[in-house]
Amino acid sequence: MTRFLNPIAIVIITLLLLTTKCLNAQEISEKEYLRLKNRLKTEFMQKLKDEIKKELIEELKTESPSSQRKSKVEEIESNYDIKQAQINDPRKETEDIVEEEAFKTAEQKEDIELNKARYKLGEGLTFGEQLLTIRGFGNVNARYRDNNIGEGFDSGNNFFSLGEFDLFMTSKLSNRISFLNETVFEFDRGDDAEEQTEPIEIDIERLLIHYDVNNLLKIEVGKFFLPIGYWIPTYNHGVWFYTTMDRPDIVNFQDKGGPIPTHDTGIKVSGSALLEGIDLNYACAITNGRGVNTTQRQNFDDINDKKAVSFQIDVQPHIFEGVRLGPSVYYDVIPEDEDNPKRENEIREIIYGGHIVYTMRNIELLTEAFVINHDEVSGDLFNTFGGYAQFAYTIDKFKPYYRYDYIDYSNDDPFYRNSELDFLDTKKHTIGLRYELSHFNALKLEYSHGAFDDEDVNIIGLQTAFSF
Amino acid sequence: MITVIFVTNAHATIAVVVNKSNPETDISYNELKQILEARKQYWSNGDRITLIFKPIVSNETRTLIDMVYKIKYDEFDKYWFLKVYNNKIMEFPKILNSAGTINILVSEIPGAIAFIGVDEVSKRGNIKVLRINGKMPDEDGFPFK
Repeated sequence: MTRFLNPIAIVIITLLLLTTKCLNAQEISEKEYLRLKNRLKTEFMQKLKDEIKKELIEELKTESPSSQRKSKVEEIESNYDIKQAQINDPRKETEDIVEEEAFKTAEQKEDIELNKARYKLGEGLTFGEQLLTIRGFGNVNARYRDNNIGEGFDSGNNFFSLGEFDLFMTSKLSNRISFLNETVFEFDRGDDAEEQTEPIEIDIERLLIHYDVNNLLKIEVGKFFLPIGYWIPTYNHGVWFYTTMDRPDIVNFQDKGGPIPTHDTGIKVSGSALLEGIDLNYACAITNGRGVNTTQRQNFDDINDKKAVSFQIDVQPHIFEGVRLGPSVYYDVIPEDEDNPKRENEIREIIYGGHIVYTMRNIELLTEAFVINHDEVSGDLFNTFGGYAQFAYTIDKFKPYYRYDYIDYSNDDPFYRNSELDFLDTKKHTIGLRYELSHFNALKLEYSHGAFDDEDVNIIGLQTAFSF
Repeated sequence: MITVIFVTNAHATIAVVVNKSNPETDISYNELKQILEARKQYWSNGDRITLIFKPIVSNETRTLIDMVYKIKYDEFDKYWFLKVYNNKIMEFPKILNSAGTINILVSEIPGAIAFIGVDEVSKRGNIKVLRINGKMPDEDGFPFK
């Protein structure tokens, strides 16, 4: 404030003197008095502006680096010249005030919006600003089948069923660290008919912390989807993402009779190299591996201390837009099962996989194939082959689709054949129609004809799958 | 009386704006595509890329969906949800209604990139317009015209 005192004091004194002079000089007319007043006012504003300009330039000279200084000074000078021209025009004054007020209001509004946006962004990441995003999936099914082979228990042939209730949560811990969890509530039939509580199984399917270093290196620690093939790391539990009602049989979940491991606990590194003509994506995981059978999980220990290793390459050639292809391999040593006399030995497991996928505009083409190699310590070798091919074409809200599933288990494979679950040779055709009822709700109607261990089954199903 | 209504989805001329601190001034269309598809998530200076779009109903975002993503407008959310779900990206891109707010956000976030109308680019923000394949939005050969 002190910097304004000098010119203000000078002007006040001058005004007082002039006023005194004017009061004394009766001969000055009203018109001349007004002209004099305006001139003094203009001179006062001029002096005031000059003073401010000088001080601002001085401040900039001391604070700003030399490169920025010159441009800032020029900017102030040019702005000042424009303002000065406007000041000289008294008509502008009212307009300026209105404009300034409107600008202030707009700025305040923008500040509020910015704060909201920052809040959404989660950039602050101080206490009270961290966000947890929860989304999820669910589905309800109705089915009719003419044979219930492979179900493992007696069941009717037409029924309604609740699918998985899947909660998917993410939260940013910093700009490069995030948390992810996927918890699934599965409804089970229950083994005990007298059981009072509703049998619900709660599975932590994913629980991980993600470190995003750069395009080439991302690290996940915890329980995650294994990098095997395309379906497992891409869709997995999100039934709403599936074009079809169910997963392909070859990538079915382990505890539902699927032959390939889908989740595991450990560390995964992945990344993308954006090369000339192709994107080269890789993922590599070191995990606890399988338990003694397909249903045993090793989330907090490893029975045989031998770690599973999986590695995947996924190539996206730029020349074929929408195409993704690549191989994957999984290696593990499955521990012996002391409770099962037919499983006295460890089994070395190697799974070779490959995928070719094309998704562009209305077309969806997914193909995957796997060879599962089980090598018992005794030296016997067992090979299981499996895969699927799925084609879908979108016409407005409709998406007709077809899929062929194939699995051929090795007859004497000690791991699959000595399990409590049924691992059946599969040849299955599925045709269906998906209809988008809304952005987040799809209806699927499908018919399957399959041969499971050479026994025919026909299934008609209707599903409503949704995301929330 | 017969009323004929023509429904068109005219492509908008889009300005690709970034924070002034961003060292890039000119990027190729392929690079922009990699950014838009979240295949490239970091700028050359190491800043994390933050994508900012106008709502799906806007001409600018629809132009991008038609020309780059090549999916149905309805599937835009699903496209990003799938990327979040399979942990390819840490969070959804920002969708903001107001071009003013987008201008401010780009001014505030060093790694931000936004796609707005040419006439919506703020002249007083800490932002700049990127050249695509060496072309500015008002020049012939600019890809989003």
